Amino acid sequence: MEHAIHVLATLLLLVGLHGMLTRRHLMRKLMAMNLLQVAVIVFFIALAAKSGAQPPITAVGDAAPRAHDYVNPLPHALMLTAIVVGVATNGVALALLIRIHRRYGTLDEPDVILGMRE
Amino acid sequence: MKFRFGSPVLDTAVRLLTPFILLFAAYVVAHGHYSPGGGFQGGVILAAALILVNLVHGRDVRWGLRPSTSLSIAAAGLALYVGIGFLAIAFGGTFLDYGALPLGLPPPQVRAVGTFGIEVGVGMAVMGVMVLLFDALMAWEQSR
Amino acid sequence: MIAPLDVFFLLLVLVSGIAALAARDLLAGVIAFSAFSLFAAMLFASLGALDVAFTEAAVGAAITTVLFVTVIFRTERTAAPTARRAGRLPAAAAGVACVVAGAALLKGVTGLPAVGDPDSPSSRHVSPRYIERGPAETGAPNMVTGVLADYRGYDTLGETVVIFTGGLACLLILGRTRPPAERR
Repeated sequence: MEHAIHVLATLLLLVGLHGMLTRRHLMRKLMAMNLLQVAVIVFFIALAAKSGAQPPITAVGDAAPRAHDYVNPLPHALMLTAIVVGVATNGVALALLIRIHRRYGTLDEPDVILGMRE
Repeated sequence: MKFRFGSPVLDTAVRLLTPFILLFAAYVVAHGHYSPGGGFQGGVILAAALILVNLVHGRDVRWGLRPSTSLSIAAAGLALYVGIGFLAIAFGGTFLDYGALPLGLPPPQVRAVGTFGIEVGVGMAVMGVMVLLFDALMAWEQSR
Repeated sequence: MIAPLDVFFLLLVLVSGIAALAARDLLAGVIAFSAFSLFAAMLFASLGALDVAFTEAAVGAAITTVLFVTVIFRTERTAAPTARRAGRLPAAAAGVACVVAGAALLKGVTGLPAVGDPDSPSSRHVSPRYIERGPAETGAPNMVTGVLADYRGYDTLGETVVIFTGGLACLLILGRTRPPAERR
């Protein structure tokens, strides 16, 4: 099937979405957010792929490249940015998790909400 | 809780591996024009080497980075990036127009030199931030 | 046509992602997450995205895993629920929302051009120019580096600033790192 990668990337996105909505532990929610991010990145890379093309790196003495022979490099650059920004997001989220645990003693979301109401 | 392992196997392995990891990180940054790699990947590998040493030897390792030092390195990397942009303005081009730098080389080579400077700046920034994140998350435990 | 190897890697990614969310022990979940990241890097490499695979392997399987394990040993290791205070309704509502969103997304996805189509709209306009004149204009045979640092240099500057801000925010959230006794 020609849309197999798209369909499976959508499934991965739904797994991440469901995980963020239903898991009680805050770190599980964070991992599900990472699943969401990787699903979106897979989708972009699949958009950039061309059948029968090689990765977007030429050798030094090559002739002028033709557009059909090389994979589209623009989504690759965008996704590089997305991955590295995702690490910064993870770092801030983990710092928040540590503070929440220090303040309320637990990382279980209903318990944290109960602690916030007191 | 002590997180210094001190096992001789780990110690020896880290001593053997770390120089090669650092060299590989420098190679990845410098060779980013010709092979997969560049600033981000090299910076992350550099940070991984420092985190490895920090994990095995604890926080008082003699050549580790304190949080203030890694913050300074990150800021210096960002300043390098923006500095190259303003340098292009100083020589008559627009912001981040590497072609305006007066290096006396054919235009693609001038752009390649500007790009390399940018990649070094990005590598420093990424390395500083990753080591900073690890230090901050670890150090909170020790201050209890 | 895209090889079945890509679909195989994507199935591995799905399975390890579900395992990371379903593991009872958080540490086992984080190790499954690291495997998930590595399989994703293999998938990117097999789809021709070598720089992205390199970054995903270095960042996801190394740095993110170490950060997660640090926080686990800092907070708690298992996710045992204390009491069933959350009722059945939120889980059912989440399920319905996911099914509706999934149906809409799948309907839209089947209308996309086929994977690997060289004439898809995303491969026209600017991208052929980057490929054909990129190595000659930027002096970098690696086209992704040329696009990232030369043609799209502003975006990379913005991203570096975002990373720096993230590190600053983490420091500010956690406060000073000296022990309280020394603070005078």
